Amino acid sequence: MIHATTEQDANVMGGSNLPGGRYRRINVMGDLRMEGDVRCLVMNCMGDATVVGSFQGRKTNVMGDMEFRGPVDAGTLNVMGEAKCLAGLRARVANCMGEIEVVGTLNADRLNLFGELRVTGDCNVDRFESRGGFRIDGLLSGDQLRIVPWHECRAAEVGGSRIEVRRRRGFLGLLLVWDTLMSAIGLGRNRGRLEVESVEGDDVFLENTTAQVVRGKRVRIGTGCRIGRVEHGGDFACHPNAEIGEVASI
Amino acid sequence: MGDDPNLISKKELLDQTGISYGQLYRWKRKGLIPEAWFQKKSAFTGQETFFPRTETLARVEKIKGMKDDLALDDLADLLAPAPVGLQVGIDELQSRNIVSKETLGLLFETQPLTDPLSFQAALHGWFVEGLLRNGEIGLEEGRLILSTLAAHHGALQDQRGQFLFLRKRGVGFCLVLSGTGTVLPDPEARIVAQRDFLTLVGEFRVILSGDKP
Repeated sequence: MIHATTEQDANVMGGSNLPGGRYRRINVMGDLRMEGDVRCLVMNCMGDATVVGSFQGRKTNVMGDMEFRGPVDAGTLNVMGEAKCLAGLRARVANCMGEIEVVGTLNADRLNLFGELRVTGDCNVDRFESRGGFRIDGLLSGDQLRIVPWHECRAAEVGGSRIEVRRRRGFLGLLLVWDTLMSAIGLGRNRGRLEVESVEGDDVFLENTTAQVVRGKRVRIGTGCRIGRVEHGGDFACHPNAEIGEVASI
Repeated sequence: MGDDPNLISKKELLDQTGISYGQLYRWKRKGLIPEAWFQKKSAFTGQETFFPRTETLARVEKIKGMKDDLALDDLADLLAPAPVGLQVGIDELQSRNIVSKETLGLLFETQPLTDPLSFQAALHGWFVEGLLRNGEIGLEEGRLILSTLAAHHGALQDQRGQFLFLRKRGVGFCLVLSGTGTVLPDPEARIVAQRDFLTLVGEFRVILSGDKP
């Protein structure tokens, strides 16, 4: 980096305010508020941080709490705590084991979700992999979407090339007893479902999904589905226990 | 549904152009097909998406033709409404005869200018220059158009809107239309110029990147 000499590290242990600007590494273990636009190589937040302006980072690790008031370009984003983006989020790769909340649009090349995701706009991801729960008020769009609903998953629309929704599976029935127990108290692995108005894709495989319309070239409807209407391009199969209103070949 | 001949349903679009759902959504994500063109309408099966027919068909054909030569992101750049950080030198504009001295003068009057010009300002100058050269508008009207463009650039860019210049009984006025749609003026008014902002940007980028000296 040409500017490396002018950039500095910031380590925050207690409570502090910092101006915006260019930084190399920002480590937050206490409480930090940054006013202005921030650019940095690495952001490590283990405490509590608020960025009032825009934020741009090569690598962003949130293990504590972070709030971004301006637009965010996070680079590689790892969230094990809670990240709140009030003006949209852009990331190259986003790994979420905690909670991400986005007001606006989320754009990413890859998103791996093990925790919770909440987006008020659209979620545009080339590769989306989820073993958590999400609520997306707009469109979830991607080339490869693989969803295993561990918790409630909701989106207005899902669209893309390959869409796969699979119910959670145990290991060779070893967890059968555990499963039965958990189901009895309402925490079983069939609890997680995907609820969506419409699904559109070239290859669509669904389990545990509730949808009004499913459109696709090749459509497979598996167990635990409630679908209002299926429109397919000639290649269709469904599980006997799937509830489907009507099927049309287009 | 199917009533409006200006609209095409998603199903029909895919059938006619031979593209897949995956491609359509990919292009939407990359911004190759403007968000505003996706129009939700209720149909008997629930909601269906419709597109402005001619624009969308033309755009899809264009993307299909260009995607073999260009990476998708470059294509998105080319069609992008605001190339970030691109600047154009005033000397270059004049020496290549893209914007004349008179139009530059108008530009200086309507917005604060720097050398090099921002892409936006250069685009405005080039657009008005074209109208002036065709003799469609006068200098005074050029000034009006430039100040309108400067004031509403945000709306044009974000909503991928249209710009119109109308004249009625010799009096010209500008309209900025967000999104796509048809304008039906009264019979006495005449549409002098109607340009889709995105197409404009595309054309200007080709000119700029074309024969560099």
